[in-house]
Amino acid sequence: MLVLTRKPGESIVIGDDVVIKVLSVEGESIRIGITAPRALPVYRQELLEAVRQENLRAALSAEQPEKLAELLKKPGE
Amino acid sequence: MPATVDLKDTEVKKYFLFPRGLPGLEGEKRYCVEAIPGNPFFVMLQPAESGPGLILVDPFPFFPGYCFELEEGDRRELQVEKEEDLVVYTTVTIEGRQLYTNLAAPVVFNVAKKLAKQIILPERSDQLRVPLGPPGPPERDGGAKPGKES
Repeated sequence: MLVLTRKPGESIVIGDDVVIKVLSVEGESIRIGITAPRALPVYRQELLEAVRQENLRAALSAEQPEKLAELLKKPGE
Repeated sequence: MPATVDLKDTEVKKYFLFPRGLPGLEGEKRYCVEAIPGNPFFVMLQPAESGPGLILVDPFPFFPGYCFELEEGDRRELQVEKEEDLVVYTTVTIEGRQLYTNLAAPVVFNVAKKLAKQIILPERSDQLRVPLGPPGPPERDGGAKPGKES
């Protein structure tokens, strides 16, 4: 991993068109501004991880497809 | 079409290619989609059922207000030429006696090109697990309470 030290207001450039700027540091929180082409997705890592977990859960659920129709019924039906 | 698929032509046609795979299931890039008879669900299977499949549902009858914008980069990846070629399904999980679906990461299929991608929608990150009830629920924006069934 490349490690760089930056101060608020300073930036890092990745490739031709990605700029990551440290906007401010407030206690434990660091505000970061990212300039990137629209086609390049930028996500919080937790969101990608949550999607991963949800997909794994969905894959486990696929082992019991016979429960689907039953569970979709209206409560009390 | 990408030249990396090494199945015979006839077999390739049946499968959708996910050029980037699916988060959490990175190993496999090809899935076929089959309807489950008698209910609104679909199952997405790997070739020769070599690994786990996923259950999908058409989210629109359940969440009539559901919509999202497909970014230009995704359109390019999916080689979108006509909107009519696109089909959107969401993944389904079973937790105890409750069904949930993931409105934060819909799967978009280009039926004409046999390409597919799971799109991540940061603005819907609170809708990773939305309870799935019978079609046409009264509330439509993911605020549904987890239904207790008897």
